[in-house]
Amino acid sequence: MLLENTWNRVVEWFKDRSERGRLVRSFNETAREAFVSGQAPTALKASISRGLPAYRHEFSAWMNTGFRIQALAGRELTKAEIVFIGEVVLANETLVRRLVVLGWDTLEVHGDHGRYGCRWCLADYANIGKFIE
Amino acid sequence: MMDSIQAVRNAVPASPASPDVWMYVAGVEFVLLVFVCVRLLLLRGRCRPEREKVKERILREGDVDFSNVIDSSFKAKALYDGLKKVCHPDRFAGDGRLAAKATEIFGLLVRHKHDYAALRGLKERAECELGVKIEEE
Repeated sequence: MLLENTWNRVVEWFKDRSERGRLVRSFNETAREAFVSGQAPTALKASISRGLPAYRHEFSAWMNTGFRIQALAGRELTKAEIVFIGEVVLANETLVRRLVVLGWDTLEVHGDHGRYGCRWCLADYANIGKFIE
Repeated sequence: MMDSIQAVRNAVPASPASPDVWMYVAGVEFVLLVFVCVRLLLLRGRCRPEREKVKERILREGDVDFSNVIDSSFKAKALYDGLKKVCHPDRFAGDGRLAAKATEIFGLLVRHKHDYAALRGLKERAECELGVKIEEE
């Protein structure tokens, strides 16, 4: 049983890693296309960050648990703009649930100028039930 | 003059005709390895905890519409602000039927204020059912 559990964990880790990379790449490709085609005035860039240990949950990966969205606006974003981008992500329940089960526990949004950004605990918006504490 | 194979034969003493023990050890190891792999593959589904099942179910829910997420980040606020002014139920207080429709649309607007695709659908519905004209910024 121990061997089976270890095997499952190893397989799961590789699968998660692949899925996480695919999700970030997919987000970045869509954001780039939207920016190049003029649909979006600002380019968004997703990346993986360290995350906040206080936001850990049942599905959290053991490291790099932050999903960071950087708005490459070339200026300091207002708090309302940052909060709105975060709320758009949090309002998309499919995306939030996927982020949570893939090991992310923190959503970070900030611009490329200025020193301020916002963080949210993804587990609060996932609505997965008893597995998120 | 002798060829190299013959030279090796002469140099190395002939081994006794006994079976090679290490060959049997390698054979047993191979069988064990195959057994463990087959067992792991067969039991993987049955031993999976509930957590894994939840995870698989969520990952099978379908692809995320990132295009809508990007659009919503920059366009949803303006569209929502425009719609909430035009579709406010107080503007249709004189007509009970329209007021009821406006109340329903306004409720959906508030619920989908961060979803650009849903807001566009509501805009079309408002134009059709409430007869209002909404200019998108």
